[in-house]
Amino acid sequence: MAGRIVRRLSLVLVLATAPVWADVSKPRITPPQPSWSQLNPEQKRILAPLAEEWNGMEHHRRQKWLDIARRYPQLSPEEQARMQRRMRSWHAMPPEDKEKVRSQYREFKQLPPEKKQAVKAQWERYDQLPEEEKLRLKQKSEAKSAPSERILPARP
Amino acid sequence: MNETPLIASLRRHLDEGAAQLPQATLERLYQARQHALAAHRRQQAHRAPARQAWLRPALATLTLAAGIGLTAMYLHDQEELSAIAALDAALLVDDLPPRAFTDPGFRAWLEESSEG
Repeated sequence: MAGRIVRRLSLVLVLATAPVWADVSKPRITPPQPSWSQLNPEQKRILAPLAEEWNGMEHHRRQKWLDIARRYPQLSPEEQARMQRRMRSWHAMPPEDKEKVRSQYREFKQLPPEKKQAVKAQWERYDQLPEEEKLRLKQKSEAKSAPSERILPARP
Repeated sequence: MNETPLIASLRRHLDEGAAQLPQATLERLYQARQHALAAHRRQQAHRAPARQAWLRPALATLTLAAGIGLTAMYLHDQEELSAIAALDAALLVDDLPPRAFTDPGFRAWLEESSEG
């Protein structure tokens, strides 16, 4: 009897920890998430930009988007539209890039309001630049021997 | 007793055979039987408590520890997922779009404007 319990227990442990060895950046245990056809009409309306990708998505991504969809009704109409416009490109971004953006955004959110406002104003000005000027700046950035890959200066 | 005639005759035959054994042999057989029974009792007394006295609580503790470990892992992952969802939701509605953080041109632009 004892042998049987030990065998069962080790099987449970192996199955439960298998994803840990596979990829540490992903959550190890995610409950199964609904397919597109199982979503309710409200969720489908909010997540419409992801309709095509949904069924091919890993469960932890689906869970994250469902969590985002729950926050959606509290947004202003303008924010809702902006969120939906950005959903596809955000989902399509490679995970490593997303991680970089997230870590920089965490730092950005901690800046004092006037600094945040300054970065936003700079972005607006940059966004209005002619394409040739943007290209020049891009080439300048890439020509540097050791590109920092950061928008914000590293904190001490 | 519900013995068939065959079994009854076999029994009678064996009893007669045993009765004809010398006294010394009977004595040895009796002692061997007592010896085997004592050994069996000793074995039972040693083994059974050993299996049940410490192996079972050990397994129960191990199962409990594994259960607690898996639950903690699950809760930690859920918390992390929820934090990422909150961060992504903020990123998706911020005035500053996510591409601002990956655009090398914007990086150079910020550097130029801080130099000048």
